[in-house]
Amino acid sequence: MNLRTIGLVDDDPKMLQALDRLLVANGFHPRRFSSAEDFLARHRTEPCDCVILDLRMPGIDGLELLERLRKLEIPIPVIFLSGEGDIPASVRAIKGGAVDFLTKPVDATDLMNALRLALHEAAKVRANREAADQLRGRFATLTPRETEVLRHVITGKLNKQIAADLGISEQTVKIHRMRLVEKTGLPSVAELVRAADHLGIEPAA
Amino acid sequence: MKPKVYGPACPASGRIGVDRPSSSFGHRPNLNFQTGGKPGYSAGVVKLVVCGLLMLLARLEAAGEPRRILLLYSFGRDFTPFDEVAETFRSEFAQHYRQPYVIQDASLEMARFDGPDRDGPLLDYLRAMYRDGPPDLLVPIGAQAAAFCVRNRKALFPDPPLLVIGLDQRRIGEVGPDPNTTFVGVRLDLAGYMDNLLRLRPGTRTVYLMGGTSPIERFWEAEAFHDWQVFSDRIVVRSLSDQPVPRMRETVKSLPEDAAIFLTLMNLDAAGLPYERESALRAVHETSRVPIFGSMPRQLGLGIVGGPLYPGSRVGATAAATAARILNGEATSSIPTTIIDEAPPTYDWRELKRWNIPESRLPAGSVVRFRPPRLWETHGTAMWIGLGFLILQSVTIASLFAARRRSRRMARSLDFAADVAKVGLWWREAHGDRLISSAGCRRIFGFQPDAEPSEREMLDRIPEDDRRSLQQAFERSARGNEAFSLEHRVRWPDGTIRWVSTSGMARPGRAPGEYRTSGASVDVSEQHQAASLADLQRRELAHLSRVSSLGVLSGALAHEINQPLGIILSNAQAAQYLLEEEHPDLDEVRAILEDIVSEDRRAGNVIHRLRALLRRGETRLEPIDVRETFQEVLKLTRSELIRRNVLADLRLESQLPPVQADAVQLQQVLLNLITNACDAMDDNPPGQRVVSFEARFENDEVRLAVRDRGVGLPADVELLFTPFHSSKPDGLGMGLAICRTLISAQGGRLWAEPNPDGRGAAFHVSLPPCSPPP
Repeated sequence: MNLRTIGLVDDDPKMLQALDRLLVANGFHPRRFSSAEDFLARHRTEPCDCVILDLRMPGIDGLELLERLRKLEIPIPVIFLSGEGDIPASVRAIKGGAVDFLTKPVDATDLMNALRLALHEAAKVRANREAADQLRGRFATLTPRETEVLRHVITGKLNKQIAADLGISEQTVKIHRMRLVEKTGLPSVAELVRAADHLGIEPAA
Repeated sequence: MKPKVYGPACPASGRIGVDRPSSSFGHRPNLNFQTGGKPGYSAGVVKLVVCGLLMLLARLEAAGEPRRILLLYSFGRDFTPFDEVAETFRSEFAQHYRQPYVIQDASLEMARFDGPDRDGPLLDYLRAMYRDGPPDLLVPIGAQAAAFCVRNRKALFPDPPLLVIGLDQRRIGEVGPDPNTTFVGVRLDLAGYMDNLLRLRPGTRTVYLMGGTSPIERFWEAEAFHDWQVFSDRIVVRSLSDQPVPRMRETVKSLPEDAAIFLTLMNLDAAGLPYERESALRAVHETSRVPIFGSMPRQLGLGIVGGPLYPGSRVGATAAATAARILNGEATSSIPTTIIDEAPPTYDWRELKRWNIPESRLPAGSVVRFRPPRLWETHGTAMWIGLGFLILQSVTIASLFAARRRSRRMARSLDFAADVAKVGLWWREAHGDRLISSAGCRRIFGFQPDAEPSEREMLDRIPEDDRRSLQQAFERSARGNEAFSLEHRVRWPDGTIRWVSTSGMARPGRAPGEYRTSGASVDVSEQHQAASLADLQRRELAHLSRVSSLGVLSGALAHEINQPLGIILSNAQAAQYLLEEEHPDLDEVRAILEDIVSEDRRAGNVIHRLRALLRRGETRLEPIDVRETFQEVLKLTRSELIRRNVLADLRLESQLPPVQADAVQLQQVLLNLITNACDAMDDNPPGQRVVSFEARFENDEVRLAVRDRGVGLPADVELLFTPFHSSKPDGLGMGLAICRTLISAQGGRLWAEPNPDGRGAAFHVSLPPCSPPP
């Protein structure tokens, strides 16, 4: 498993350095960011598997960064590290999808546990993303007619109905559906429906 | 030689007279013409003159020739005592006789000489003079003249009536009774003269008679010898008359002290020289060492002491009246002889003084003349000026007295006021131990109000430390010539400690270390108690307020502490992992440990700051750099500012004098102001939350300001500083009220102002700078 790149976002350089040391000692590859803005600017070129955020920072604070990441659909797991046990802030963080909300001073064990959890999450995310990529690749080979038929299939219509809707013969519908299964590797209608949903393919009206 | 005659111009008008003065005496008879009437004024009134002339003519026609009176002198006109008699006669006669008249005179100069045909020349002269007819009235003055008339009357003027005047009653017999003759005589009392002399000079043993050698003079001297025989048991009478005047002058120089001189008449001395106008008296008086007495009015003032005097003027006046009656037609036989008594005794003040004669010896009714003119008469102006000065001085003195009385009254009022106000007054001169103190002052120092404590006793009531401070205050005050004010303790005899505030002034005395001091003391024990109570309450409140401020900040403060703690922990655990490795990177471990140490310090500082703020300490004023205070507060609030997205904008002047303040309390105030500023900007978009911190030196004070861009101030700004007024739902409403109390306690001010552009508010703190070191 090569998921070991951890982003550290804190306005206190001493804190960055301390966490850096701790992560290095535990076999991680930390990447330091001095502010939320810094992270947003660099995360594409220097991707991280997980990010540890300071809750309170000048400018964009930790919670806001989390919200932005979610808006940008960047599925990176987030661990919060806060100087205070601020319950409203922790609630907001967990709701926003943070993996954990830790308070300083944080014990290395707690931090490592949170990191493991986060990286597990990251792995899952990565797996999902890879599957989706495969699927998308397969769906990308569909002809427009096949895509048209797919959109009707996922509405749960019978072949006869689809043929009528599309103005083609029932036989032709059957051939298209066979091609669909071949190309997507998804034999059941249920699997097709889920994949279409995942890929954002809209059912026919 | 016919005299010109002038009548009165008119009855009411005055006398237009010509008094031709005799140019010389010699042996030539003198004639003098005079007309009667009253003094008048003709010059301005021409009509009156014309009218007068007309009337004069008429009168002359009616009355015919003016009546003629011949005054016949025994000696010359200027010989005593008849000169005065004649003079008075002339002036008085005009009062009594309204018809035209002429007074002509002739004198028996030759009467001084004794000789066979002594009357001849005068008879010739008179015959020539009156060849037209005899005079209407013949007035011989004195015995000689009377005798001349008796001798020659029949041959010369048998018809005109004779008015004999001025002679002594005892010589009237020499003239003899005659129906055509009447007398105005005098009564001369020679014994009375001696009585007078002895009354004034009781110790007199010898009396020298000084007189002339003419018959009348001899007569009087003989009379004196005769009349004074009755005094022979007391005095010896001698004569100087055989000496000419120059010798007399010598003789009188060596007369014994118990002698006196009596001057009778001295017109012709032993050498045959005439002495007019009492010139003999003057000469002798100059050298005499004994008093000279005399009886002639003319002599008075020229050297005689005085006494009963020959009544010359009264004789003249009476004679004039009698003469008028005769000329008016009264028969001389029907006019009785008039004897005039001597004039009341009259004395020369200078002689009385010269011979040490007290005025108490003078007989009753005496007149003293020649008193030295009073100062008024001689030095009037100077006297007026002097009097003015005296009055001024008196007024000044009076006003000084009044002022003194006023000031005494003031002093009493002051004492009373001081007592009512419980103020004690005291003052002390430079030397001596005497302290003047008001009753209130003694009460403050624990003495009985009627006690009189010395300065030492007063000072002994002040504990030593305070006494030293007071002494120093005196010295400073004397050096700087300025008032001092000091609070000190006073220990009463029963052990009670009182707090007394003493203000005063000291001035250096003559010797170094000596002072003249004055001042006032007030017992401020009650105020002290109240003040310390208030101080305690303020401290409690301030503490509570701080705790609550910090409560608001607790999240931020936790962050401030947890941050370094987190760094420490992470570093420490990193080091643990490192050391578990087979070949630990020891350099890295060393760096980690360094960080741990520094972060530990950082945490410690935060806690230290917090403890300082939370300490329940007394107010301690000390020189403070406000920039440092700002920085401290910013360190505490850094996290809070970050959390609330507030930017701090520092505008602190670099050259600021230190202020005298309590650091903790000032921090507390700033903390409060910063929190308020953040609260005010809660609704601002994140980019518009800025707090400015300003510090500058202005108008001799250090000004701090915390400026926000928030919602601004309410209409009534002062409401903010009212206790229990809060704009926050969970606020206690004490923050600013307490802040203002704290700043005031440090001699500063706290106020709020809207920003000039209308957005947000500024809270200002002004503090006095430390006074420059003396």
